Amino acid sequence: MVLGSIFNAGVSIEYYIVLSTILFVIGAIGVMVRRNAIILLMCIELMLNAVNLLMVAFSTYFGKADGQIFVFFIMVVAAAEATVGLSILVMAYRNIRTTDVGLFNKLKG
Amino acid sequence: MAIDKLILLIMALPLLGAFVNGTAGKYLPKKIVGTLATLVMFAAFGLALMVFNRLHDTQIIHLFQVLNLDSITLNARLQVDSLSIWMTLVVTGVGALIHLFSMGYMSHDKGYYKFFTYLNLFIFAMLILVLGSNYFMLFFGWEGVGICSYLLIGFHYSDLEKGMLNSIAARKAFIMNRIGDLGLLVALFLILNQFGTLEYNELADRILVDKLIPSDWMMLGITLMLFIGATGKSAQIPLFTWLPDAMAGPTPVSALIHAATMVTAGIFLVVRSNYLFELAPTTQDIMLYVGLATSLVAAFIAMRQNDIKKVLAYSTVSQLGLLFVALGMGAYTAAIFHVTTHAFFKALLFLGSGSVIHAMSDEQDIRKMGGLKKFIPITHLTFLIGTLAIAGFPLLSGFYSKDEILAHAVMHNGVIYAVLMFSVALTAIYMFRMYFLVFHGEFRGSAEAKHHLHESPLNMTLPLIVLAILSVFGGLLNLPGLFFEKGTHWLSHFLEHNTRGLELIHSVHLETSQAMLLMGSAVVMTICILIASFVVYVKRGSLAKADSELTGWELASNKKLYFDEVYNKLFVQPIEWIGKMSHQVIEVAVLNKSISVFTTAIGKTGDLVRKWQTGYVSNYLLWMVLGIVGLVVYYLLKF
Amino acid sequence: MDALIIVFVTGLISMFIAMAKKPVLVLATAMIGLSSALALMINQWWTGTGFIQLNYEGLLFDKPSILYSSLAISFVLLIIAGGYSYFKQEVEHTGEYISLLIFSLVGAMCMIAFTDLFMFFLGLEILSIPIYVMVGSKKRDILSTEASLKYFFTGSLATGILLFGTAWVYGATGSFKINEISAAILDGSAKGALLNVGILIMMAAFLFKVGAAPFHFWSPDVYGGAPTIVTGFMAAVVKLAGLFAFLKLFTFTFWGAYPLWSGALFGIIILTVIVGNLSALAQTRFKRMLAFSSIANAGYALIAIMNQSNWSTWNLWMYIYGYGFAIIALIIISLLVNDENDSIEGFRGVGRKNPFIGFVLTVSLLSLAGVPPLAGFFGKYMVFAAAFKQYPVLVITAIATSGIGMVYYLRFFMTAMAKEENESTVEKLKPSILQTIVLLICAIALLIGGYIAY
Repeated sequence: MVLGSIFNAGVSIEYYIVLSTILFVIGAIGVMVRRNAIILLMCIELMLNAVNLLMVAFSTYFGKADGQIFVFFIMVVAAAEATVGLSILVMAYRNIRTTDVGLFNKLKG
Repeated sequence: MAIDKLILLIMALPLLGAFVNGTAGKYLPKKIVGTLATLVMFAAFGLALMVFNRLHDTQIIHLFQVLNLDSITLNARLQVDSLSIWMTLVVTGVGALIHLFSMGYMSHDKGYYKFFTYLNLFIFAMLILVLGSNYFMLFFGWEGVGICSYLLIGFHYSDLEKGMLNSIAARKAFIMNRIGDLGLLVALFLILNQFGTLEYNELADRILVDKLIPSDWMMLGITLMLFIGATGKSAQIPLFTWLPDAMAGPTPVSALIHAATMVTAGIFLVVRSNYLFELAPTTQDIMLYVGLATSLVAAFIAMRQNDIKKVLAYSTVSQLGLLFVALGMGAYTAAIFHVTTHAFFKALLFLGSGSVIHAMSDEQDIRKMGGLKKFIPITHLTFLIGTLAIAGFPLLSGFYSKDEILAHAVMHNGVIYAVLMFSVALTAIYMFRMYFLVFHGEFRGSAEAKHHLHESPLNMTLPLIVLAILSVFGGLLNLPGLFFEKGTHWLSHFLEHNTRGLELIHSVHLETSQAMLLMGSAVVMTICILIASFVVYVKRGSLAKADSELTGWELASNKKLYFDEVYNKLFVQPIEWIGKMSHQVIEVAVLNKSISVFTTAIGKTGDLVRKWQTGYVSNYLLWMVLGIVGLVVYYLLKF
Repeated sequence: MDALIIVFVTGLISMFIAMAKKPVLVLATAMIGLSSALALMINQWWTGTGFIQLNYEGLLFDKPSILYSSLAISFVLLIIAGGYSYFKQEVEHTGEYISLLIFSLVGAMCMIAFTDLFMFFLGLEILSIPIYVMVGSKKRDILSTEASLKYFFTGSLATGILLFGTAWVYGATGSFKINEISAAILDGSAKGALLNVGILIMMAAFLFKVGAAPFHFWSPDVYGGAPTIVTGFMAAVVKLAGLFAFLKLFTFTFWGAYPLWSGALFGIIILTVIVGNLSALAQTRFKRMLAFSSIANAGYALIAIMNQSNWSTWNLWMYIYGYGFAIIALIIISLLVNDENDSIEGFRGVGRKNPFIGFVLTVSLLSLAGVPPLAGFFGKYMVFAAAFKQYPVLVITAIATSGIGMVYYLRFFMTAMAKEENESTVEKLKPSILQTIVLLICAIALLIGGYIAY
């Protein structure tokens, strides 16, 4: 309802698209330039949240619930992914005592 | 059981034997391996006899379709008629006896199971060859027997002394056969092109019933190509040199494949296609003269060969030449008759020679034998019968079958008759020479060899005895009309009864007086030669000369008329030269160079691309994002 | 649908049975469960309906889905059976390995049978998350850890990309159901940057999953570092699911936007086959070579997706059939060889040590190289022949590069068949009965491929 009134107030769907794209690009840039694995994980979460925002916006725009349901799925999956990702990080940390992804380059060529 | 089931069983039995021995033979005791292989052969022979008794009409047994296209249909079908069942009887009958013989002969060989596998496989292929209902099946069997022949000639490829030579002989046989096979294949394609079918029956219908006859040139082409195929397998000039070399194989193989059955495949092919040949008189003439020349040349070479098996090999070539003379004259039933008797006495002679070689501890040179008759009496007696039969001694099988061909020759052309008689005389001369040198006189081998002399075991002498009986009485199958009014020419009638084409060619028989005259002269000649040989080799005790003493015609005969040398100069060396040159020029200079340049270039790029894979996950993520950016840029530019 | 449930339940049961620390039991459960799932699939193929009627609109097992699911189940069966001796080395985790493989298979089946993007996304994640874990399952091994880490980050990014693309497509079409999306694109109600960029972004995620350049970088590292059996699973099952989902979504759903994505895919295929083959040429390690070869193979398979024809589904299936069985056979042989450094040299003389393995190796390599009459040849032939008219340049490039591919397959073949120089390299080469059966099945499948294609 609240969102609906915002649309009515003149915030058109384009703004949401631009906003979420900006968020997504920030996340993507973070993924590219940061070397700390935890920050990488956070950047990916940021990208997923950008998606969530967009989904919710479109869902409201179309007046259909399926986009918002999708968002719940994304959240659940993101949580699962983060769990697995963090355990992998723990394992990696145990092995070489660092979370700097730049140091994992044994496999190449 | 119905005939079709019986025929399938006949085919399946040797295959089963080959399969069992080929897969499990290594782990089975020799007794079981040999017994199994031999038993399936005797069973197959028994079943073939049953089929023979029940056969009235031509039967076609459809197995499955191999290929079905718009233009051609190839079927795996069998055809049972007089000709094919007769050949089946010969193949399984003689084959069974030779299997039995092999059980004794090969008993010390470590490749025992392999030998019987090949032998059974050979019989299977040969049965496909004779029982197939179309040229496609014939070709399948044709190649099958070819490969078995190759495997068996080179059977002792790992022999320390002769292994290499055996392999070379096998290779030679294979290559020579391939040349002939090419001819056969071309003929098959021509037939398919002209008649649209490879089935014997449909082909016969087109020609004999519908009279759809292509041009004379086409018929000449087809039959000539068929004949070239036949020259390869049946060892005629110019492709005959492989057969004597094929004696490198174990002796039972020589008896079965290179004397009694496989080499007669060419004869079978021509008889099967008789209606084609009847339309191409030129080919018939060519066949006649090639056969005649082969017969003479081979008989001449056999005169001064000293290897017991080589003599028999050249004698086989000579007899095959004789058969082609008969085919050239259109005497198809006479040819099949001689194929049959020849299978009996040539198998007998080869097995006899095998028994001799066995007794002599693998010595094959007749100059080192002599006086063997008291050491190996059964072999001696049976060998004598074989010799008499092949020499055309009166009342033995060879006498009748040869005489029939000679009778045709008289009716055909006097000169041909004379030349044939000469060839027959030569046959008698070299056969008696060999017989006397081997079995009479003094033993000329070493004392140790003498000590080892022994008669072969029963499973080797039994086939000899059976074959000797067949060699004596085999002539009764097609007894000339001269002796009785009825019941004569049984085999001819049987074959003409339901073999396509043959019923149209009525065999003309000579007047009784003329026939008597012919037979008389043949008898006189054979007996004269026998007496002369006896005098020369036994009374005067003259011996075969050492190779260095030979001069003139004897040298030429001993050196096989230099066929191998000429072929070597004419074909082998030029081809080797071409091969060498193309290796040096095309392969090394052009291909290798260009390829190595190319591969180096590719390898370099490969290394370059490999550097792209840095190992840093950040780079990978960067590339992924850049990939998306690239896609978006592509979209912006294009749309 | 019932097959999917059976597979899932099998995964659950084997996970719990694993607590009994009896690997054989887990193996038996998995085999029985998957075999019955396969039987159900076949039954559904012939009768058209499953035993249990469950109508859920997110998943639909139509004939193509059944075809691909059956192949996926067969691959997993073979991998579990062939890799059992490997799992057994770590008694504690056998059950977890096997059940993770099976859960991953559930994801693959969802990806195959999806009818809306919900299920597709869920399937993709169910497929991927167990693999992140399995890749890193050698906990003390730095390479395994590294592979797992790399796969996780690249995979998560790909998930983000996929979702972002999905959101854009959703924004353009207003639906997640593929038939509604397809209709919206075709009737022109959805168009513009929102749709087109969305499709391209989704394609990027797909290209990542199937490992096409330039989204392929993860795969050599992950394949190389992962336990061998997981490599086989990724190469066979993940590729299968990814390629079929790609086909379903693009060739059929985004059919209306064909000119857009086909132009991009064209360039990507050419890049992929060249990069894959050239990089494979320079590899000295078996699994890395396999990874690059699978990149190149993904490139060839994408040609089937480029080609708009009713036969694409079947051509792609045949292609994956030939590719998958060969890969599984090779993977199991490499398990047997068990070379520490995973170097190609470690295979020297394998064919002579054990002629049966030599035979299977020959068949698989020749099939991968595309030599008739093996299945790999027919797959390649069908894909290439179908696309030749429309994209001659593409097909000629593909054939030329598969010539390069021939080089490394045959070089590997020569190494494996060479006379051993030192006896010690290939000491123990005793396949268990299960492995022998699996290898035999693979070889037979490759040999009769032509008959199936015919």
